[in-house]
Amino acid sequence: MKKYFLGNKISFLSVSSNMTDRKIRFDALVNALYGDLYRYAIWLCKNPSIAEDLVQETFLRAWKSFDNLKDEKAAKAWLITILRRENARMYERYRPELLDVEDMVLEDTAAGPGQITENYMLQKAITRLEVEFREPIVLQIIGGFSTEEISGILELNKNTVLTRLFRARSKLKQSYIEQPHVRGKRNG
Amino acid sequence: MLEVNEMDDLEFRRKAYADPKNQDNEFLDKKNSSDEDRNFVEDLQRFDEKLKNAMNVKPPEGLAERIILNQTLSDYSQSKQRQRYMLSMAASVLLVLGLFFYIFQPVSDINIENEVFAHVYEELTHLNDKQDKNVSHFNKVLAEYGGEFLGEIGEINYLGSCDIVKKKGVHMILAGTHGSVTVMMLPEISVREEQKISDNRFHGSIIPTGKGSIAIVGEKGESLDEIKKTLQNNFNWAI
Repeated sequence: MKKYFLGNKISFLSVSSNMTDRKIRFDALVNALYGDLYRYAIWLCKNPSIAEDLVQETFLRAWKSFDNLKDEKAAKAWLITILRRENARMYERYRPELLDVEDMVLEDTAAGPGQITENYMLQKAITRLEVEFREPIVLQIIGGFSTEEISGILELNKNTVLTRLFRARSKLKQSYIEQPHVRGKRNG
Repeated sequence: MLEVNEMDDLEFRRKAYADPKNQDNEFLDKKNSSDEDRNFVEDLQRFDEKLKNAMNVKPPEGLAERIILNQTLSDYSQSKQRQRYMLSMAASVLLVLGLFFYIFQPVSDINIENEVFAHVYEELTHLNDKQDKNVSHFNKVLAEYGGEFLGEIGEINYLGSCDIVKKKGVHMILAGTHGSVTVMMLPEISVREEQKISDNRFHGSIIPTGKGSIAIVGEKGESLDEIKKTLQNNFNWAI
């Protein structure tokens, strides 16, 4: 309103208001997607502090090329693509350390000692999946992406994605079935 | 319910494992064709819920705030960097300009005045010379600088090349009505406009010409207008 009222002469004001708009949109994007992005990152690299670095770096890069993001619905896939690239770069840089990372530290929410929750067991099973199976199923379940979208993000053809999803779920189901002592959380 | 292309069990199971929420008609038809198939898919969907819970790791406390802070700081440091860049660009430009003017500076006018008088006093003895030279001698010297004088200048009592204001020039002494008149051709020294000069004994002008400038100095009381006009109007400079 102010802009109309004062006319064109204060175009610097509208420039700064564009900046503010951009910042508002960016902050909204961070708030909406940082959780899913972090989850994707941690299941990708299995290390909480590397995952946080990846998410930070991803959003920094996203901010720099924020104007390229035309369709905000595509934002999640776009961010994940950036994060994958960052992960590949980081992996290349710090390969020796990363190779030592066996499992991430998982929260065992078991009710008491000697108990192991279903959740914890499944988390262990997910970390044990090879990354080529782990990645598509995390994208499907956490990201809510369709097979086509996953094949776009991973740059794989659709049949390969379907095969990997099938094998990922089979492996997880298998390890779930093979844990006779697993107890579900009864209080949920 | 006989379908010619009904999905076989193996393919159905593969599809269910790949995506339990598959919405293809063929898949849904098969799923709804028997309790067993429906249970199979629903069991997988329940398993997916468990997987979702397992994958649903909580992000660290304050991560969103840290991301936004990080972005703000990086913007700030970028703008600092930009400022530093602009500052260093400005400094470079100033340096280049400074060097340019240092090398190509038109020697300042006040400087010329002092130098011209200094040269007159250094060679005061020439004021009394009687070399008896004329325009053709003058033109020979001028030719070195690509100049030619087309008018009459009268008797030349002294004519020589010397260093004036640390640059090569022509020093000439003519007869005036109140003593001698010194004329210095300064081809390498430019002035923007005529500059009057004077001290206790002499007065004169430095005037721009086609190539550099000419200093004309006479005793106080000497009228220099005539000679100035002659010098202003009769030069021909080959560039």
